[in-house]
Amino acid sequence: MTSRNQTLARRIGIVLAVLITLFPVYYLLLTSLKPTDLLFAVPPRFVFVPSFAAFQQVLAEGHHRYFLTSLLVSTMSALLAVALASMGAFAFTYYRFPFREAGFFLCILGQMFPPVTTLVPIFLMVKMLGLLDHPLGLILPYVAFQVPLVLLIMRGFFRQVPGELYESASLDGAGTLQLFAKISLPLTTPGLLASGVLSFIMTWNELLFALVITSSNARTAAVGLATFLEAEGSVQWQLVAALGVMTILPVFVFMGAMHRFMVKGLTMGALKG
Amino acid sequence: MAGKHRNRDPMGLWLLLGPMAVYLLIWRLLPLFYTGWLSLTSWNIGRGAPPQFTELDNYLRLVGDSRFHAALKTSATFMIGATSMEVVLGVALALLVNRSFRGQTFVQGILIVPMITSPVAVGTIWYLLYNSKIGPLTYFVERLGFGTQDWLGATATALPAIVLADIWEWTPFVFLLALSGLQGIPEAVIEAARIDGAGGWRLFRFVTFPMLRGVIVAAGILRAMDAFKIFDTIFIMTGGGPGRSTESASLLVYRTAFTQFEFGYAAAMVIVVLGLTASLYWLYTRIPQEV
Repeated sequence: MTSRNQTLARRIGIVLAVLITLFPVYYLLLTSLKPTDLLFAVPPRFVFVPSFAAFQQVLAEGHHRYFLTSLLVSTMSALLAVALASMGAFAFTYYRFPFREAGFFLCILGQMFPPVTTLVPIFLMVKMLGLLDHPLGLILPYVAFQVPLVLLIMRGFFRQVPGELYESASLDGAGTLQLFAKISLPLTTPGLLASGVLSFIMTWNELLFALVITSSNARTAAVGLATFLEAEGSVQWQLVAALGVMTILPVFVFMGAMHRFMVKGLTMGALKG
Repeated sequence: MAGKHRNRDPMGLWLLLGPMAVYLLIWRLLPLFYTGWLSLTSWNIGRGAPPQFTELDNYLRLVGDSRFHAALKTSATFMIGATSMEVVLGVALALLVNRSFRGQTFVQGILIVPMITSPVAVGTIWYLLYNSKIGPLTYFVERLGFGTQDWLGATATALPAIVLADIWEWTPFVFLLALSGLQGIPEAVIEAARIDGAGGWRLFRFVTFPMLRGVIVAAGILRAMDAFKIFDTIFIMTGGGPGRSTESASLLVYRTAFTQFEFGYAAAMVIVVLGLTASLYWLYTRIPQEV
């Protein structure tokens, strides 16, 4: 009897946890779809005919530009970070060289210092390059934020590639770069995907640097939402909520599609982060 | 090109390692040192004068800066409140989900939704939830017999309200780590303890918990380091208000640098904050990991 009660208690606990997890996100979606006349209804309305006016207004007022910028910035940052860091991770696993461990530690050292520590210098560097309020001004520092994490994840994956594969390919005359491109990369696609998506998500979500580096032309989704909320937060509720939904959406889509890889990637990244 | 062998191709090493090393040097390490140097200068970019070397003046000023002290205290309070709850709830959640059941993977996927939700969106969501006109919380709390509350607008409740949002956002992180820790415990150990008559609380207290301790401590320290530099959700939900009651250290750094344009002084704040989080990390490395 007690074990049946335990199972029941466990079930209830899990259902509660799922509800608490989902309700806030659900309420955001609900608010974005609520017709204006029901917005302030007491008690709060949970059932109604959805209205897409807020999303139409987002497009009409051109807020979707922020999302295109974010898409560009996050995709480019993730691709460059994965390219740089997977090459580096391969070098750290394939070669033996003096100070290898120390060098690796130096490379991931950045991960232990929160980005805020370099806020002012990076602002000045981007300003010096004349890239303030330009997508490239964000991509350059963002790549560096993501490299240590990708490096950690990819080193873990490259280590699992059996050395015999390299040796037999070497005997067939393959150069180091060929070993990297033709053996290591194809065998570690899950790692490349996981670390790429992880980099994309973290870049997409970043606020502080985007706030400082962009002003109007290269505003990202996060900055767009933050500034709109500050200006119109208690007036245009549905629009705020619609922007919120649009900020979350790409991340959820990615996550849903790649769930299996991501749990592993997140765990590895989190443990080493 | 014959006779390629590990270590015999230094060109390849440089080609592969070089770009990343140079990139990290330029965009991660040098800026860090630059911050260190800036912290020893007086530089207000608004006034247009070049940075002036002022030795430890900024640090001495910080010692007597009550706004900075208040911000550190806010960050620390936030960190302790959020981290402790997240660790307790995250471990509890992991214990709940660890036993296999139908749809387990799906539930795991749902439960980590908050931690991948953009912090700006998390701030927006909870800003809506807490709002007395549009959010549901006011209605339900009123029905329970408590008066109308403007949670984010009152000094007493603003910080706890943000802590609650953080708990929602980051408990999944602890959950994820604790779950992977639990799944690493050999089945045989649990079985043996059961045969010896341990169950429920005793099983957790004397078998599971000791084996999970390393993971729990790691998750706690990582959360603490991250929570201490909280910026996004506070920026969205209260902007540091009411008054300065929720102004965290990161928010103060941002304002000092980009509304007052005191780059040198902001850099000194960053170095102090970095020192504090680094000491947390040092603490983490000192704790024996027995898993």
